[in-house]
Amino acid sequence: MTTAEQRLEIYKRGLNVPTQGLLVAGAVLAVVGIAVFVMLLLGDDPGRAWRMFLVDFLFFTGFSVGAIIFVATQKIAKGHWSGPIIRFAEATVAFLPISLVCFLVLFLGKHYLFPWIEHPTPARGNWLTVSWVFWRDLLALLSVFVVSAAFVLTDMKPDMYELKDHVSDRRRRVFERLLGGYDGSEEALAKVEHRVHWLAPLLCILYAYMFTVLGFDLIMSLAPYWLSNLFGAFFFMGAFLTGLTMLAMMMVYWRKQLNLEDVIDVHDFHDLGKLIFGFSIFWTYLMFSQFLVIWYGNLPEETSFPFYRFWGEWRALAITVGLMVFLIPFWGLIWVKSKITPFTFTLFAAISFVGVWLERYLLVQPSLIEHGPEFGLPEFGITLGFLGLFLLAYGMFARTFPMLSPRLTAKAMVVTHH
Amino acid sequence: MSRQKSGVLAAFRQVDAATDAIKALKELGHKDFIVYTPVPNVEVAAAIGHKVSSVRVWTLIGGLLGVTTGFAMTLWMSYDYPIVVGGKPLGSIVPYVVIGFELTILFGALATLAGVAFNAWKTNQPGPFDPRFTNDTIGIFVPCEEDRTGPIEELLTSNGATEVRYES
Repeated sequence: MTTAEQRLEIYKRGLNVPTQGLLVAGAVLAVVGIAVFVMLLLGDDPGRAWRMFLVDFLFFTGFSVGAIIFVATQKIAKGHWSGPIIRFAEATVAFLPISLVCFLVLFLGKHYLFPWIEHPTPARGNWLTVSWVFWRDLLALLSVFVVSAAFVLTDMKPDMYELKDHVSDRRRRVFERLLGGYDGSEEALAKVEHRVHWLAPLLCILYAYMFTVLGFDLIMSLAPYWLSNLFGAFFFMGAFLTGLTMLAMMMVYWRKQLNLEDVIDVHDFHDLGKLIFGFSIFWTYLMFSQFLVIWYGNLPEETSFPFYRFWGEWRALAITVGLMVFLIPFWGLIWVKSKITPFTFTLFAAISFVGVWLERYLLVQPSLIEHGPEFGLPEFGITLGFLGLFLLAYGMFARTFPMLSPRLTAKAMVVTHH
Repeated sequence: MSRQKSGVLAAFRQVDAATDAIKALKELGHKDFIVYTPVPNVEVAAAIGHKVSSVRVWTLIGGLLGVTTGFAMTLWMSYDYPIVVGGKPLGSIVPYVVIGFELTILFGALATLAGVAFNAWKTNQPGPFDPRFTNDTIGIFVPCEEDRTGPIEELLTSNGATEVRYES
């Protein structure tokens, strides 16, 4: 076989990926999760379901967008190494419409979530009123989602064009509709690259602004008299970290599923491992930066939020979060060997991933309930439902679009001398 | 430092040619040759195949020493000259984390520099040099006796050396 034929054979593997497992697991979990959610809403404690719905909405939306932001950073920095794995991150774009629906559903439970509805907080002026919060958050989500979708679609155009003759008729029609005027010419490709390099920084800036607003409105407002200016950054950088850890797990999964051992090698593990290591430290840095000033100022309205979580009934959970997001990944991923061994790499990524989920739980729940943490069927059921919806969306994407980008993979191979 | 060795000095304009020559030399069992490159080069480093440098151990020790020093110094000072500030406890760990962190970086960086200097001194091999090796040319020096230069010169030339000469 010539090199070109060998390459095409590899790209075809990324074109016909096994998604049966993802779709079936996703559908089952989604049905179970939705059933649990509805059952709880009709039960005697619907608030518990709504609180968990909020936690999972924040977590799943966070890492889905976070993964796309990772792609944007790669485009800005012209990082070619990530070419073979970039589509595994971009595929999360399929979850964004579901996330938008979840946001609309979320506001059905507003009376269980936002304490400022029953107890207006004049100290915050008109900032915290239902319609203003709803519309600005909807706008924030929509702007990020629309730019994300445009960004991912643009980045996929050359791949869809290159591979459209190797797919079924149904998929080819989808490809051709999405391709628009793209005709594979040099000018068209240059236009695509130009648009990608223009959308990427726009998306990053939008993400920082809009997710700051979401963090303020959907987490900080639950304790309306508490404020921390850095909280928005803490929220969206935590989401970025989960985007990376999600990508790490997906990379290992697809590498095995598609036999990509020759395409995704030790260096990809090492590079992504270093990023996860670095952003674990950054998460801690942002957490500590907020804690230091609050501790030093020692003002009751500021200290109540962290101290309520660090002492008393929530202490064990706070320590667990610190261990899972910082200390364990730090000492786990500091070694080269543990980063390039798929098993330990996945293990520490998964620990950090679940750790941030617990962190989101710890941010939301103590503001709304009088007692300590509770983990039972409602919490796990609703989370599994979200996981199901995510896997379903991800599987649908993988079934339709090329999961391996010919042009980005080829570029990565040239630049990194595979 | 021992007396400068004599041997063959070759100049390469191409990275690929230089790496080929390095691989060929290693295959023949040469171990003590010297490679000069004007810029750090991944391919050349991979061809030489050095083990991972021990500098990182210096960094780790420096960093650990720094964090210990940072906390020990601040705590010792607080208790040695007690002044209560802002109603905070004398030994307040929270703000000392900043000092501990800064000294981790400072000591780690200084130890890294020291490690680089030490390793450079320890592994330094005297050999002939050409100023072009700091500009646009990769150099390889293979120590050998004057009467055995033939095969080495041939090997270097066949792998693309632009210039080969004997230095004594």
